[in-house]
Amino acid sequence: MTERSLKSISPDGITGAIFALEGMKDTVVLLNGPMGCRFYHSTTSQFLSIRPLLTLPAGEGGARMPVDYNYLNDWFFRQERVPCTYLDGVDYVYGTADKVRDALTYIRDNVGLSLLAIVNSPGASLIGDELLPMARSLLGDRRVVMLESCGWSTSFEEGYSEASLALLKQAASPLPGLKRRPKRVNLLGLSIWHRYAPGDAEELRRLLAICGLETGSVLCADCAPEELDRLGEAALNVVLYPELGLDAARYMEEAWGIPFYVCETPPVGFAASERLFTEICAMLGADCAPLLEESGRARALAWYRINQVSVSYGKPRGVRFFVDTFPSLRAAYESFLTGYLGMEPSGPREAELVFADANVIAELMLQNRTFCGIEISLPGMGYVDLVPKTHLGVRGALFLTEQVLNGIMSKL
Amino acid sequence: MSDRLELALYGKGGIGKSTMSANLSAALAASGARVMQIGCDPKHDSTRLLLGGRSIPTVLDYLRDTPKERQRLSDVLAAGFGGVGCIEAGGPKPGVGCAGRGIISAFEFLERTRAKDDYDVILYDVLGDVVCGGFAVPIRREYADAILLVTSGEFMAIYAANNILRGIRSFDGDEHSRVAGILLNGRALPDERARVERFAEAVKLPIVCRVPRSEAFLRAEERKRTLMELEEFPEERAVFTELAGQVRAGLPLRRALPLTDSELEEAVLYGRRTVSVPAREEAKAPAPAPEPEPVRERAPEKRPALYGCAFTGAATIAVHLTDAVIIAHSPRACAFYTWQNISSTGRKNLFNRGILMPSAISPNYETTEIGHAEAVFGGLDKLRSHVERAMERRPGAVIVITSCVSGIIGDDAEALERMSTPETPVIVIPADGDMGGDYMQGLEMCLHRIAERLVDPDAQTRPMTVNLIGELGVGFNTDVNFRTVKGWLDALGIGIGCRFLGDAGAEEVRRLTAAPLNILAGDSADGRALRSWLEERYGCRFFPRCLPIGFDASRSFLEELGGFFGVADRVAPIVEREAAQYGAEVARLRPLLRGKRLFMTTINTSMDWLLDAAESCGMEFCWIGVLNYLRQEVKITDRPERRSVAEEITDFPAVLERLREKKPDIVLSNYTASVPEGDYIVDNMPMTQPVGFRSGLEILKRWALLLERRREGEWSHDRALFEKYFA
Repeated sequence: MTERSLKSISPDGITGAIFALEGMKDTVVLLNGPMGCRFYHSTTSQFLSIRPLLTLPAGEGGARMPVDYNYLNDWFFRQERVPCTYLDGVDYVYGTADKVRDALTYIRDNVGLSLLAIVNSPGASLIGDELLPMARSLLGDRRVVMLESCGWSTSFEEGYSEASLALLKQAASPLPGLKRRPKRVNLLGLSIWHRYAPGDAEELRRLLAICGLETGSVLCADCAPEELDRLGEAALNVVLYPELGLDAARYMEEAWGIPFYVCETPPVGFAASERLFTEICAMLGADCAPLLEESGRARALAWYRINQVSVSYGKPRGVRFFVDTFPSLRAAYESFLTGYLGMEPSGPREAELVFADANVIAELMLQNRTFCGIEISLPGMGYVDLVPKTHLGVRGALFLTEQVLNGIMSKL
Repeated sequence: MSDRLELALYGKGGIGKSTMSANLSAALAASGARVMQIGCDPKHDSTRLLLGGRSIPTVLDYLRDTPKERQRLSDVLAAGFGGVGCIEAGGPKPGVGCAGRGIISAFEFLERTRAKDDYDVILYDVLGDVVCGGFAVPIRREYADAILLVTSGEFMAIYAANNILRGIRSFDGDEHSRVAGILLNGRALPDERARVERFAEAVKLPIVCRVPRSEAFLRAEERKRTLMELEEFPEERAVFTELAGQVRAGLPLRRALPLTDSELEEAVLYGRRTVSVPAREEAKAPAPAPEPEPVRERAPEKRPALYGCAFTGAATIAVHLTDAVIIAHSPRACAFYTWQNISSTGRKNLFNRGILMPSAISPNYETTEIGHAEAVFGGLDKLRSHVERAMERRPGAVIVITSCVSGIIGDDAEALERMSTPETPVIVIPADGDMGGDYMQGLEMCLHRIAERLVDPDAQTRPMTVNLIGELGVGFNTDVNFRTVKGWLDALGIGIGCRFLGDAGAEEVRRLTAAPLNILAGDSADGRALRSWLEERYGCRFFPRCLPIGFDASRSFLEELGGFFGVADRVAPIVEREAAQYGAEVARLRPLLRGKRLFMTTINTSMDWLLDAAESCGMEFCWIGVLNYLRQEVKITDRPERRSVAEEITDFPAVLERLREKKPDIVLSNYTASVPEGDYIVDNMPMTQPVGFRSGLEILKRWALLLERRREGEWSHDRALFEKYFA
């Protein structure tokens, strides 16, 4: 996050870790901590993305029922995601193993899953319980990941990075004789916690396909645990956000020999998207001409609409904007807004367009600023998206331009 | 599997572990092994002899003082005698922080930097007893392959060795064998050898090495050298050379079979024969003499889950003291979750209603961001600086709320209340995460503390004012309700003295006792407890009614309030206007709803406002399921005849059973899972309702429409498609 005088507290490392792990399919993330630590993650995960309903087998006539049917369940507490061990003061003295064992046994016996991840809360990480052997023994052939401490005051990005590394180290078993596929690409750094996560992944897959490339796994964003064993099939790991994906890419290069490519900036806007695909196509011997053709058409469409606004009002040139997100993404937005649209970066209080999460946007609204807020990270204000949207790739560049033009027009 | 051997030396503090460890490391190095010794004692002198008396930076000091991106193993790793890699974990000063956590942090750093990669033998020199999970980290199976117990013949040293066996057993059970044996560091005590031998026999361990008491150690200490570097003590050197040979050859490993305390006394002090058996074999052992019941290590009863934590509850209410600075003495993690909890109401009101709520959108809420350094060394200094900076802004108060982490490491945050000035009190809420209780307990703790520190018990009375007490901190309708009530009070010429605690300044709280009347916002158990506390402590007078939901309650509320303040004449026009509208609506709805059967599941809160409206339209109540998750007295209705249809529920299958029995027309819930399709309409309602005359009626209007149209929406039939494409 940028240095700023706004008060909003940035997301932390445990949140980063939980959402990295929650992004895996068929996975339950057990938070070993007090109930107060989990409501945010549970609620957010449940509403972030489309998830299969977690079910219990104890329904009528053998029908499976959602876990929240059991109102007083000790671990889910009527929320479908991120169960917790509800630690209290006694557990900090005597250890958490008993409660973890109870929760794991319940989850093992009642909830379908391929991967179980345990994340310690700040208090639990202080006391040093060894839980991984017990979890492995209880879960049998299902994969287990344990994060003992992912930092209490660290950033979202650090927690995410640590969790994705733990996935690779603890839950991946490369299949013997795995062959590298020369046109296959893994994407690293995407997260279900991003504002437009499903649309981001969809757009990148689409563009890779246009270039004749195959998308392997999108780690931590709808990636099945079994895919971890096949990550080595990729000819290239593409790191979209270095803060989130670089550690995993380095690990895979060292452990499995997969080379990686780090985007100069994430593909926000036409130029960044064209650069990304041109470069990886060059590396993998693929043809990016169809993508450049599509991008050209999109640029033409954008020009027509921007020109209309420019002719009438002289904007977007000179419009002041403020971006608040983690560094690589901020750089990508700033590059697009200044380089392509000719806008001017400014502080939050001078900005006419604010690109941030809903907390920051609301806080600035409270200060009676006249501006338009465009959400680029969570939490959102409450808008429910059904049509997948994205700020990445060619369609993302168009959608972002659309939001900028409408934002400008709404505040004329 | 690595060929590297990781060996941990454990023993009571002061028993000579560091001396033994350093000499063993030196002997191993002399035999050609590449050795690393890791001192795991806050006094960080484990490797001093190996380093010729030189002390090295400890890992924990280094981690505290160096940004993560600049941290390098080479800054804390020093080469000692024979190339032994020397590491000191270090730790906090006595009495502060958490040394056990320090060990965990240090080990994480060593793993991250792959510190052990270049060594054949890793030797951990670990502080005394197994005192907590942190100090037990080296004996986790991912670390120590073998464990040596260092002891002398003193009973307490043997007692500590036995305790260490207990710790190992809790990790290994019967499945693993990792104890290499006992290293007897002789003190020349009477009967010493025999005592240790009796202990060794009882726990079925060999004494792998007997180190005689010798002046050699004193001389080596004076010259800051290991014995391997001194030519004049060949006999003592030979002891370590032989031990090193055993280590390199591979010490046979055994299970940990600790003794009970009484067995230990029998075996060691009195020389009676006792052989340890693991718990599950105990039944087969010969019946021993009667013994007192062993002390239980855990409370046998399952404790109920705490709903939320006191830290969040306290923070959620504290932010409504609008001119205060609220400091969460916590990791950023805890503060972030609380911020989201607070701001969710602000975002929702802005998005849904266009209402800007300052305390929910931009609370004066900060965090000390406790990190590993504070957890290990204590976080009080950081908190003090934070409070000092907050005081410079001259707020109405500084409120400090403590988290689990600050509670576990024992920061004495309450001592900072001494920093209070007459203008700015420092108020510490010792929530300690959830160690201070659940969400509601934190809320109560916070309200009590703020009142105790701020309220003037003898404030001059301000007639024609009321206080609003116990508004919900994060209720979706809190702001809307306040606007409704304020509109009524304005019409009656009554001012609001203090909202305790809903967006009030410190000065308003100081004058809490000035209002002649207090109104409780909601009739919850926690609200009633707060009312009793204020009555008892400050003699506050309370209005008998809470903020009203529904027509009858609103009318009574206004009439009685007008009577109290002598402004009944101003009430009548309001009630007449509302009554006319209400009557017309009921007349329209009654033919549509008469005889319809209402089936309801709800949290434990008064529903009379809705039941009254339903009854006025001629509806029947067939069943009310109460989810009483806080296990409080059931408060669904004040009307005895309605209580007969109320039943406490714990799970949804019970609801389904009642659904089949009762055959309702309308199924309503403010807390439910999906209800299967049936010959009824299903409706949901928010957990908190807006106050006022029309609350119940608006819901009934909706039911009339749904019953009339019976229009479900085709989308509801597509669940199977969801299961097909997304499950």
